[in-house]
Amino acid sequence: MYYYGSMALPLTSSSLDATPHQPSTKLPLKAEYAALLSQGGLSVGTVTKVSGPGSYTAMIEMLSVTSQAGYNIAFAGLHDLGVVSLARAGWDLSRVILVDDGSETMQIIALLVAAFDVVVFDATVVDRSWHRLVARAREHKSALVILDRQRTIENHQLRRSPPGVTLVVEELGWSVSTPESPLGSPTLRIVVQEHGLAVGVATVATR
Amino acid sequence: MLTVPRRMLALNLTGLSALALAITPSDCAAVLDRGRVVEAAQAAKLHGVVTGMRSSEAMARCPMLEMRERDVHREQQWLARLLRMFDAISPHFRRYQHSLVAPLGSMIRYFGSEARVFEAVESVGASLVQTYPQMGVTLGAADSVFVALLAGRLGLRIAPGDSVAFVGERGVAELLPMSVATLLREVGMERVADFQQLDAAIVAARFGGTGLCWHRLCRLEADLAVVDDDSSEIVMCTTAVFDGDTIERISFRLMQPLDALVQTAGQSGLVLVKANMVLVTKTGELTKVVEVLDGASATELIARLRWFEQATRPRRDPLVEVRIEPLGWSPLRRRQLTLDRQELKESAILATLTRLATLYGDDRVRIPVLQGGRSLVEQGVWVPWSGRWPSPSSSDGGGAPWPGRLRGAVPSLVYQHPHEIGLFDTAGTPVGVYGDGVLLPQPAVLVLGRERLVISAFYGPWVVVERWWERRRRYVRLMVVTPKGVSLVIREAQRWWLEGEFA
Repeated sequence: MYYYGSMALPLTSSSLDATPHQPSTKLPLKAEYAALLSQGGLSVGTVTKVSGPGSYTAMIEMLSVTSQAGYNIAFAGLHDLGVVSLARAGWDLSRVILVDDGSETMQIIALLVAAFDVVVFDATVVDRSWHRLVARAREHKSALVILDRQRTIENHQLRRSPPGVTLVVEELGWSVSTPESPLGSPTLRIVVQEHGLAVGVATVATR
Repeated sequence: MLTVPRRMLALNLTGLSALALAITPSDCAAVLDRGRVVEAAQAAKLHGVVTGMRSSEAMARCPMLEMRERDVHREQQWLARLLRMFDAISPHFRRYQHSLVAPLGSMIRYFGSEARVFEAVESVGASLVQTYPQMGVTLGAADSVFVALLAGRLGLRIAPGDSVAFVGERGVAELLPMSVATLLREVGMERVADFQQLDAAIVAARFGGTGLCWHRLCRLEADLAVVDDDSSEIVMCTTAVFDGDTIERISFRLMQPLDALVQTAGQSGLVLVKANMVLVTKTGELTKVVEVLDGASATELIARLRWFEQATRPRRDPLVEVRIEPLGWSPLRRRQLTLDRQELKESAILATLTRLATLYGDDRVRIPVLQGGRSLVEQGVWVPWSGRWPSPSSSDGGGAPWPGRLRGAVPSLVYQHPHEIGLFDTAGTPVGVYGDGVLLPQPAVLVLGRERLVISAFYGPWVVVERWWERRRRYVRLMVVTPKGVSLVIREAQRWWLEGEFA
């Protein structure tokens, strides 16, 4: 039996870490969020929903490490997203783009998934083309992140084909002030559901 | 010894600079070259703006004057287009500066007489002026290119054999370069005829090579050289659209000349970085200038043309003609094709963003930029994408302290135009801030449009005074907790505004 050099190398966790140069099936997330997910990261070609008050804050915190790792992230339609909050969370702003939507957000997202690693958008834009979009994201190995701030979106399409992972921000609290953050900072109580089952609960502090 | 005179026709075209910049006669605009007016539209002329005037003087005469920088490259492209209009009369028309010249001999043989040639050329010139009202065309004919060009400017037909006399009647300052004319006037020679009479040896001794050259031109012993166009040069790629044509067929037809154009330029070490796409429809023209920083290939340009057509042309407005006009070339080397995954990914992103920008508008695709400023809106903005990926990183205001900036956590949603809100207590009394930050009464309800949100807690207020040394701005910040999240509100000018939300 012949062994090649690379096969003899021990499989450490660092050698499996995703980098932009090495195709991987999962994208890195901030440690607190990664620990909550059974996959330990954001799986490519899947849909993740972040809902509840504080969903935007949770998304910014969660994907900060993804952005730092060199992955390209696109926002579709989220024109009020704070640039300063992205920068303070440590995002690499050179790899972030925002496409301001008009009435054709789903077409824009369909174009974005073909090129970007992660595409983030609001749940209100989901329409009949949802299934095709999910298939396209799977084909192009792009992760979709849906934000549902009000938790009131009863979208028929989403009910028929629900996201694999849902992070529900159940409570948006506030930490005490510190010298670095004189106004204090938000704390998020997050419940993670995978395929409808709650798999983890944690309270996460933000910067 | 006199050479055999060559009867020449010259067309002097005026208004080309304005045409190249799409300036119409009704525009109050002027074209500038090195700070001087080289062409003025009719409306500007009525205000006293004339050719040769300094830009400052023109602006003084007409304060609403729009001044545009001359685009020589576009002028040459237009001249090439106009040249084609005269192809039906003679294939021997050639460009010389802003004029077209052609030998009359062959045209007289075809049309029968010089008068008929002039009639034909004048009819084409009239249609040209009708199509482009900013243009002016004057015709001239003489026994050499040099004299024909002069006659063309004056709109004169010089009879055969009279050209030497015609040149002789001109003033030396009008025709000859300054160095030669000044010397001639010093010795009392005001007319070119005196210069023509001089012996060639004397001219060579006194005026050198330049003087001798002009002496021979004036005596018709030499003529200007009109260089033939390079037949391989393609100044634009154009195709007519036929009934039932699809954009795929049109693209296919355009691909070959466009590829030839890019390849030819590539052999000279140039890449196409800027091009104008023109879709001529039955109701008008749709144009878009595209820029490709690393140089465009024919395939990329065709793809952009298709996206442009898809995004802009109304379905009920059929195409008549499609053009791609090169506008800018660069000696930069085009990026080599790569098999590196990261570079391939970036190329795919570039293509996607270009397509989105073409389809939905350049301002729809935006990148985040950090800058100086106190408010959150000032500090971080989404600006139109620059055409590069990864986009250039921005600095955070150069490390300036910016007193009044919010430290620590900042809202995830920041409204570019803050929403006006109402803050009330439980009895419905509006909340105000008095003195040095006294909040009265305590806020209990936040009203945003038709939405009423119960405030469960609040934090603040903080009074911020900005720029006390000039335009004083005083406002109050307050954090309120509602079921929708934590909101950052400000009070300014006796009103409450929603600045951002930790949503």
